[in-house]
Amino acid sequence: MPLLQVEHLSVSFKQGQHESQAVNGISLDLEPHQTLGVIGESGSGKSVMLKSLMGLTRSPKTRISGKINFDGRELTGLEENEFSSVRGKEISMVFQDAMTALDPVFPVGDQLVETIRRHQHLSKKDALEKAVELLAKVGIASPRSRLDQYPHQMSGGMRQRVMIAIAIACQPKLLLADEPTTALDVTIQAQVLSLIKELQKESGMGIIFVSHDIGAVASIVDEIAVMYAGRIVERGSVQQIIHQPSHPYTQALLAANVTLGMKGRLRAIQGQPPRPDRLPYGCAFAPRCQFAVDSCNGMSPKLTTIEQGHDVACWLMEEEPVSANMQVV
Amino acid sequence: MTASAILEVEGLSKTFKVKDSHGRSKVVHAVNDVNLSVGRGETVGLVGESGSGKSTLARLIVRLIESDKGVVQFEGQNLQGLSSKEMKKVRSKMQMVFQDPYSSLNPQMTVFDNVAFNLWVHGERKNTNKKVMEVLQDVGLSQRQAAQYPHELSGGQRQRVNIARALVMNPQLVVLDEPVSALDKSVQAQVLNLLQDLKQEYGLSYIFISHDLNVVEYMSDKVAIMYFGNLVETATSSALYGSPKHPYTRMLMDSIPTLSKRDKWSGFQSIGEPPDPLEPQAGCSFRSRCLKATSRCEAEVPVLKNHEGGHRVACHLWDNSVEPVSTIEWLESFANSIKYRSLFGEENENELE
Repeated sequence: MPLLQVEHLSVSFKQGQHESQAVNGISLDLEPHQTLGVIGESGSGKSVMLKSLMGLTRSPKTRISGKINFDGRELTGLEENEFSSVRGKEISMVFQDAMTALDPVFPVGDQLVETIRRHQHLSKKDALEKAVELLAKVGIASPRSRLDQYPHQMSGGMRQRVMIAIAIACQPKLLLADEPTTALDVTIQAQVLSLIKELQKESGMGIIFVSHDIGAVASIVDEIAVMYAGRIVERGSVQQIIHQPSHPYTQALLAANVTLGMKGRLRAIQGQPPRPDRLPYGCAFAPRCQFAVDSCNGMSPKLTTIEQGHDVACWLMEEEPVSANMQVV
Repeated sequence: MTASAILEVEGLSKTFKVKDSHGRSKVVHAVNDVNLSVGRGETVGLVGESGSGKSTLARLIVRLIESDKGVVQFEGQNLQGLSSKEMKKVRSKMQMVFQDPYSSLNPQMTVFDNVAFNLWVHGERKNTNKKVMEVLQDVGLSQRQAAQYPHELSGGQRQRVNIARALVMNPQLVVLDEPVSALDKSVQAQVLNLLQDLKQEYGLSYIFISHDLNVVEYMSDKVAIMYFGNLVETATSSALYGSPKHPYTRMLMDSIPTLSKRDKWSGFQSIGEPPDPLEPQAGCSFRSRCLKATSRCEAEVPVLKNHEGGHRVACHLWDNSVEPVSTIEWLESFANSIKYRSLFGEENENELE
């Protein structure tokens, strides 16, 4: 049985007259030890999906439907106080900007101890020892002296390590990483990516890694899901997505990505993603798609398996394969 | 100074006085004796991690801040002695585009006014309407968008406004400080294409600052790598990316995540972080992270020296013709023998060459 099983998850926000459909019927599975990468432009619903798994989008103005089965439990129906025993303990999250995610007025030691004692029955002293252990584990030198430091006294890479330490404090089964390396310099990014991978090897946690940096995703995940306008439009192994992208959006996204040795004009994706309160009928990518045909504007395509482990939601796939003449990274 | 250079920077230095966390006064050497030249029609890429002094260098070049030492020559004219009135004249020919497309625009002005304001400041009242509309069209903004306010635009469109604002002065040199870092990859490609087109159309030279090595390679003719306020390597783009020489440049290259590096960097954690700028170390500023640092690196600051074909490197290893290994090679060679985490621990120190 998978660690996480999401079925038809939809999340929408009421904003006055409008209703924004941020996540639109997403289904996915995740096994322990597995890393799923989620890529897509800003506004594609990546972060909202992650936050919904963490129970952070629950509010009177939010409508959530679908099922989230985590480790044998259904999360969608949980009361807030029940959810808070899962959140931070069994599922935890690493955010993009450690400076705003950490509390600026408390030393990092306090923040670690707070998380540890929230979920584990440890004395203050034992929790402090555990905090030292965690900081050492994420590769922070002289961890004991760091406990009394405030977030602003640390470098960006170190703050990100502290946030990871807090996230893994209770040995979560599922780690949600929302652009954890985007704000970091490239050498520090490599370190954090390698740290996350190493921690996973040790604990066997499942990871969902959201990023718009395709290189970073490709370097650490097993599977990739491509999101557009709240839907997963393509899903497959890293090799399948990077080497044989089949959805026109995935192809365009990869082609727009600047990589070493690239020459000539870049293939930018024209236009912008649709607004979540004004989703077009049919395929949401059709207005920007160079292969769009009439049927694309009718109904929205469903994910269809085109080969073992490789699903695509595109009408063209159902009729005839897209002429794969686009340059692929 | 070469005949074709539009900008020549010599020995430029800048220190800032700051207070550390205990309130003690310290001096940060933000930019340290930098020499750089930009040829006419050339794009020079400037790469470095945060805190390496790239943005300070950019601001020194357009004299938004005053340097402590050194000379900036723009079209053969030394900018250092100019009065603010004279400087304003020169500055219309050297414009700057900033990273954050939103905070660099005036939110209370329309797109049109944001662009036209630059002309007004420089005392141009004639034909502003025509000039602004032309340049807005050149950057791909419509007449309707000219009447909108910055908050009504997307990030990519806002950055186009910033570019239009720089171009309306008809500059020779545009300093682009992380112009696409805040944008989505798909939008990034649009803006990079636009910058390439405009360079041809307006006959521009660029200084292109970024921490994204892929983008810098794509955009630049020449690349300069900065570490801790020093230029550590400069070369043509193809030479620098084809055969990076400085160990820091190699580390940067090895850090770019790709599919092919999936299983190769499980030891990257031991590479360390840049040292504290408030506690500068003697000798080479990179030695604390360098895999081949020697006693000479502790004692002596390396200077940029010429190697073949104008490839300049500031590293003692190249004097002794010791070729530094790349980070990944190094990690692989130790992969089976030593546990990475303890590499810099005392117990294993002797095992390291």
